Amino acid sequence: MEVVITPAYNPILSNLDISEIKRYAGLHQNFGFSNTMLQKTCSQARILAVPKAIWQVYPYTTKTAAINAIPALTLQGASVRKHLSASVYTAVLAVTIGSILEDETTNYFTKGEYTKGLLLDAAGTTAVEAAADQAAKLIEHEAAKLGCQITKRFSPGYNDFKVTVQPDILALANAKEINVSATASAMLFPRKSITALIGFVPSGTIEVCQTNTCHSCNKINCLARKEI
Amino acid sequence: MIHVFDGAMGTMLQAAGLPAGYCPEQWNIEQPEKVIAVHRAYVLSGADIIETNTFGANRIKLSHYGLSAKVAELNTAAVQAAKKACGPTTKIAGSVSSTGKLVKPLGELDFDTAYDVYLEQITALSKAGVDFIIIETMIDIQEMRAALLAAKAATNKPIICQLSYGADGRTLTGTDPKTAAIILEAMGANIIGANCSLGPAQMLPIVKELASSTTLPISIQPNAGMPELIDGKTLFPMTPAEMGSWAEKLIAAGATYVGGCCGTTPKHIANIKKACENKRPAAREMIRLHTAITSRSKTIYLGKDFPTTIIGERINPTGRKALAADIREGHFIKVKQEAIAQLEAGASILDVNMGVPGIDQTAAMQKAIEELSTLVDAPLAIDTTDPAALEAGLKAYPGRALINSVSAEPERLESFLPLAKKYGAAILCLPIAPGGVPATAEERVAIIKEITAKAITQGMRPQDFVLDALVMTVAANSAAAKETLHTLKLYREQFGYPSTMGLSNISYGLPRRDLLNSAFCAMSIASGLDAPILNPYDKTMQDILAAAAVINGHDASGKNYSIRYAPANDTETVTRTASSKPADIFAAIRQTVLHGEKEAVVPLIRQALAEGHSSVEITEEALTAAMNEIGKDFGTGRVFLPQVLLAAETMRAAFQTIKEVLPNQKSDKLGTVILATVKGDIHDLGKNIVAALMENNGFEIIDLGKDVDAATIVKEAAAHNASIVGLCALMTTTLPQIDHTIAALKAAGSKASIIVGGAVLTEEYAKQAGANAYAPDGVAAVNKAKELLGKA
Repeated sequence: MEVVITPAYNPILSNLDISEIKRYAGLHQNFGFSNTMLQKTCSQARILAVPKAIWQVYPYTTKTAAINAIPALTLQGASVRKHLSASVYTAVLAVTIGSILEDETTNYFTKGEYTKGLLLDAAGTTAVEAAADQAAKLIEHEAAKLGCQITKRFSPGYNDFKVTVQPDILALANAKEINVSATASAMLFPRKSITALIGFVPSGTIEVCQTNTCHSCNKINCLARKEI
Repeated sequence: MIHVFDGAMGTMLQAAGLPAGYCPEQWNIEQPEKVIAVHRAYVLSGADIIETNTFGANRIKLSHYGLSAKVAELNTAAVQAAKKACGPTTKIAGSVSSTGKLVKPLGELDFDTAYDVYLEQITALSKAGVDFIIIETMIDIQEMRAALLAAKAATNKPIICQLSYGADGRTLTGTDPKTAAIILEAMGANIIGANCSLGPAQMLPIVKELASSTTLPISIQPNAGMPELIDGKTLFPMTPAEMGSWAEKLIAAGATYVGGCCGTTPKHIANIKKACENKRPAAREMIRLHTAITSRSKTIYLGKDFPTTIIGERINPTGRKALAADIREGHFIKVKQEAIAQLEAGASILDVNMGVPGIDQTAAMQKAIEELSTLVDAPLAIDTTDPAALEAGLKAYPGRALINSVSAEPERLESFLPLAKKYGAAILCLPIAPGGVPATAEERVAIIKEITAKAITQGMRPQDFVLDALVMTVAANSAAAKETLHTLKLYREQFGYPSTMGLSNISYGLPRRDLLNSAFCAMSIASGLDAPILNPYDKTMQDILAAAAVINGHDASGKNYSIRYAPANDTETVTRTASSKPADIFAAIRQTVLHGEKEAVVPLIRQALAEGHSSVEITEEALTAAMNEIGKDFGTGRVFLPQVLLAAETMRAAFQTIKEVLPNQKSDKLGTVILATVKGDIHDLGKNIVAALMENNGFEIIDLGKDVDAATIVKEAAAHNASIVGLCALMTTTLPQIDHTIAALKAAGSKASIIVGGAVLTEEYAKQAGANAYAPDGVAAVNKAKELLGKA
């Protein structure tokens, strides 16, 4: 398969999952909390988020864990190698919702409206995840055309896949097109951004690894961590 | 008759030696005999229509191969190759597909650029002598719209529009077959269908949905099953015989054009041909085409057979300064807020008016439509008197819009009707003629006849009309309301098209407008009103509409009405179990903090101070006690972080009230805390939460922000004589800065106790880095700080 530069895609956030907002805000799902406040936050996040995604698909060599771009990128870390162990291609994805929402979150804290700040931050996380899921749907379509299924997303920072790879991943995704960059400490800017690898696995040849992303994540104190 | 298309071209060319990564269309010039051979194989296998080898022969796709200057040459050569393979009755369809770029608003490609790209290709195909244009394998309705418009401009040949759907029955960008059919039929497609992505089994329900949504012929070209990658090759599993048996089912469901897409070969087509022999098209159920307005992903039908539809009127800057400023400054935040809020209040269609004096309304309308069409799935009405703004809006809208409005004024008829026809919009017919506003219902009917007759001569259809009954102010003319009601009845009797009107004009100049509007709404619905344009926030109106839906039989068994009005458990906000009446003022204050009721705490604090309690008493007996309690509950999992923050906000309101009442009283602080996210780390949510909780637990907070270097932290700790330094890091890459900062503080002789936290930190790490404490969350940070200062 030839590598054709895929252009940016603007996902549509016509709804956000309130149960995900609750999870990211550290609220127990069955615990009563103002539904009005959650709904308002959900609407506000949809208004402030500017979702953008971009990805490129490269042939992948499992033996050397190499993404065959020019120059090739050899992936370090047993976890990511395992995740892509049946993949013949990998999509390199970058997604963001821009920085307007996070600026408003900071404003809320400055004004002493802490709860709104926390909930909006959680809604921002939900929004960027939803945008990434939509991009993954388009990637799945590309994979299906080749006779492949896709793996779940696997991001730098999961398990032993070090975040220091971010600059390389951003370059492979062509993330400058959507204005996502990494700081010297390999943090993404805007902060509500995601990068990930999605493997293309030949259909029916192997069960696609459905890695629990929380399980793979090093942030053991994350208040949104799913029960494992 | 059933028309049989050919099958896949790309895989056949690869089998004939086309190298991987080579432009397939280049063979139209370089190796035409191989292209002809593929066509001939399909003709011999029974194809009635063969598709040119031009799937990617547009300027953008060809640019990947440096061939963007050869659009005309490659397309012309492709048609010539097809002609050489034709039998005496074979027809040729010029194949057109995606540019590979997404059109705005889903991508960055301008609609006009996409249109130009398609115009160039389709003009070449048409000039070279194709019999059809087939626009296929499209996943974005907006790109399909651009290609269809270009095809309409470039040729008089029949145009086939085929989208690719996923297993969920929608295109990847959310369009369902019914919505696609409504949009494309209105824009002038001749045949509608689907191809690629799915096998015939998955396409069967799509054919059925198309058959129930359009009267146009249906074409269908499935893949030979779902592909599999075997030994590096993409293979399609369905045998030719299986394909043939599926063709019969597709025809029975309503398809009259059947062929194959990826993985199909001449053998598959031969089997399809065999299945089609002597088959007559299935009798299609006679469907009544109702007036429909759509977004990209949602269809709303209007008319007497459907529930009353609210058209939300609030995206209109007339007389609304804040909204006008939002539009003028290009923010569109308030526009978006109005969109979401109106839908939540019950609107189904949103009217969009950008009539801010002095702005570029064309640009504003385009931006509004682009922003709203990615924010909400409700169909839009484009409300303008400016033809340029109207065209910008129609062009940008990936759906079928309602134009608000077309009167019988000559300039409006001349400029708006062609745009409505071109972009497949419905029109709101406004009975106003050059002579002015007609007073009687009969005059209104006469004007509507004039508008619709003119529209039909322009190629519009009955299902394109929505009639406005015209509402005049009853305070100025006591017969105004009766005349409108009479107009609605005449519209229903004489036309049967759905009706609308700007309802709230009726009450202008009178008190309790909501009451008059609601009563008028109920009477209008009874007289035949289908889609009122109104303010959906009006509670009385919502009540009337909910009741009317039950009465008119549009709310089966009153189900929605019951959900709305039956007494229900109030799940609103109770963050903690309501307790009994508080014993004293301190207990009352504690309760407001625990419940996070920041508005309620203010009068209680004032009352406590007025009763002679000191601020120290209030703080210790009520506020701190409450925060301690909620902190404990957080620790045991009885409450969660948002509730803790609501409590902190309530504390803040309480402290601010004390300051307002006793401005000169100095409050004693537990200690000064320097807070920072360390150098290189730009995350600050956790640090902000800690700051909020500590501040409202009596600490003086110096928040240095994020990405703060060790030297600054050392300097500020000394300058403020800090008792605590709180450091935060979220990423493994910035953890070393925790060690570095602690070392710097110690080297500088800082006496401050150091607390660290953040997602990647642990108790062990804190110890080895030399911190005095580790806090896994904000509540723990408060407790640790108090312990370290001996104030727990």
